[in-house]
Amino acid sequence: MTKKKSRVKATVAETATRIRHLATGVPGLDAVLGGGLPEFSFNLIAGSPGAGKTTLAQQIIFANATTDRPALYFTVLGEPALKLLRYQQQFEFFEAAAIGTAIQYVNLSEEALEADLKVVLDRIVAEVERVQPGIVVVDSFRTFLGRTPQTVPPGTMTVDHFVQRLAQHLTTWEVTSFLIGEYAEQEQRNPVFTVADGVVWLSQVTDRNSVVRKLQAVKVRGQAQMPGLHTFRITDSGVQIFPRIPEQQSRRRAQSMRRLPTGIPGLDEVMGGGIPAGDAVMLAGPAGSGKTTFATQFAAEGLRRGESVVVIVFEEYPEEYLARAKARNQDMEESIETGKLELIYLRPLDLSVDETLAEIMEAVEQLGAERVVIDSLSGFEVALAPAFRDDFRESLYRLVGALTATGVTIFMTTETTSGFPDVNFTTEKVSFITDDIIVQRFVEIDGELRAVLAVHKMRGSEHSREFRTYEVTQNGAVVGGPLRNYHRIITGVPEMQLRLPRPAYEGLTEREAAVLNTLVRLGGASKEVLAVRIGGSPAELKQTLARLVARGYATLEGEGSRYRALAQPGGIGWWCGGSQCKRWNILREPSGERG
Amino acid sequence: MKSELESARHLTRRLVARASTQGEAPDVAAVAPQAACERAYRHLARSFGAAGSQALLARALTQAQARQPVLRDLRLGRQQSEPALLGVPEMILSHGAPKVATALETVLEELLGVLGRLLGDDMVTRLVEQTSTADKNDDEDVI
Repeated sequence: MTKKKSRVKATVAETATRIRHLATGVPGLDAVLGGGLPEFSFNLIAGSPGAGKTTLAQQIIFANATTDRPALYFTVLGEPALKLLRYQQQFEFFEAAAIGTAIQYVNLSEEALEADLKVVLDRIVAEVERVQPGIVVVDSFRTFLGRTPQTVPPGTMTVDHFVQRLAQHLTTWEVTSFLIGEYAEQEQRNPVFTVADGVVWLSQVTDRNSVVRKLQAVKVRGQAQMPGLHTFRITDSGVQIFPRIPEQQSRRRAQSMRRLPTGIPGLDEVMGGGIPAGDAVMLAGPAGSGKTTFATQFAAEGLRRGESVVVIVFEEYPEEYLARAKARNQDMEESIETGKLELIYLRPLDLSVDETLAEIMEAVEQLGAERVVIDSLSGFEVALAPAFRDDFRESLYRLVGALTATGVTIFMTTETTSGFPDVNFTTEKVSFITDDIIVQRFVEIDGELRAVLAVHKMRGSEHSREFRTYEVTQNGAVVGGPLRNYHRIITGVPEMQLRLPRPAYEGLTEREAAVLNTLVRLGGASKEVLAVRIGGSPAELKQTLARLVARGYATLEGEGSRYRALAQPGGIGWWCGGSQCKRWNILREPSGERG
Repeated sequence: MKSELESARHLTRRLVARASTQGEAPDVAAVAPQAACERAYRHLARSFGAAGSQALLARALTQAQARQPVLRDLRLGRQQSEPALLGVPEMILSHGAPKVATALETVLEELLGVLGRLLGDDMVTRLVEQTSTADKNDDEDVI
């Protein structure tokens, strides 16, 4: 039985017709459709006025029409062919040589004004039979749809019937066809949507001063289209679609053991030898903390090593960026000329993350880039159309995921907005997307404003946990030594820390000593209070306290609910906390297990 | 502007010449320009619709009438359901074939001039050339 079934299946697979796919000629659209346009399919391009329906159809026919298999473009009562030709020839895809031969325009306005759709159908069929086109476009089909069975004269063809017959004819004549129509979303019940093999929906959303165009492949019969809304832009080149970056476009490349030198003296040491290749690094700091300088040095170091680099700037013009780099002895212009560096400037205020990614990916692929600098995420967010700012975090997550999947190392900067002396380590709430985070701060030391940094996070890698000073000099940023004699650096107002000997409680671990210190400070406390003050798991704390009692450093009182330290200030040992250290006196020598 | 005019003039001459070599009564001077005009009228109707084509030719005629008073009796209409220039035989009787031929060439020239300004000379040239070629091949309307 099983054998029979599999044989049947194999036979079907062998004899099944493989549907050929046409390349649409619209960048990004083939991917959205799930691999191009199925040949001989009957498609609907729908959307609001001005959404780009005609331009999209024009671009597709110019990419596919030939003199052997021409395109027939039927205009109805919408944009007259005269105007259509006038405006469409402004696009780069338009080839005047194709007009009249590979692309023929036929006006159906007279037929459309007739009461009977059969007249329209007959004209279309007659033209198709005569010209034998490979592609047919009816623009705009909407004109016919005002007619319902109730409004058409008795005995004349209804829209349902017309659409069905048209689809049959066009498929029989092996034609790939497009009906263009202005529809509102609630009109999706229209019979044309059922008959169509493919439905592409275009829309445009206006939010304040930005206009965002979106495309959705609502239906593509026989293949899996990319779900969701995809932004697109109409430029002199025509329509370009930026397929939405999927959540997990591809698996991230395995992290290599290789480290990339940052080009910033002292920083590699702090980062355990440099940035792990393929990581996404975020440098967060306040305005004027030297973020761009750091990022530029990272890019320049890559170029110095012969690597290709892509730099995306949002906050300053490329000329300014290059001039600033040159002023710090990093001449990057030559690298642009030699094709090792691409400087992308994006500042239109109506960007989508997908569009940005498409631009970056193209540059990364063209150059075979190993380093990507995004300066800065804050500028990037501002450059986005307001409609995209709400899901900035999620979009950025997808962008970084897609980029790291290519294996490039990303260096991003972001501006911290927290006021002095507050601290916001998880800047912009985007830290989760990065592997490594470096935080910069301004601190006041001895009445001077000093810049410090710390590596806050390095995923799966050892790194220094010290605060380091750094300076931005004429030749770039230089990271200095650790601020060992200060604490409370994180507050922005560090305090000098006296380095005095810590108490040496014989036989106690560091953790036990810490618990004892807390107990000494509090005088006495319950297990619950101690848990709140010093953290740790209840089980571990219970065990620690039991050892302190067993070793004679603490005792239980209050019917066993309260612990009291057997040490008082003024005796032996030191306890350091806050800004000072105190000496402690042990009331009685602990006994028991000591030693 | 001058080049557009020259281009329209040049194209007109070619279209008329083509019409006259296709056996459309070359002995009557005005017939070839009339045929060329009507063919353009017909072709444009296919692409731009009857109304669009008529609008273009009406404007061309208005402009041509200013240059050629002979054209004041020319009308746009239909003959056997095809777009046609009406009143040409009467005009020939009144003014003579050579004058009417020149006037009709002016109509065509103005038509191509208007199209040239709207679509560009290159596009019009291609449209006209493709049309003429297609006519030669199978006498079908193709634009």
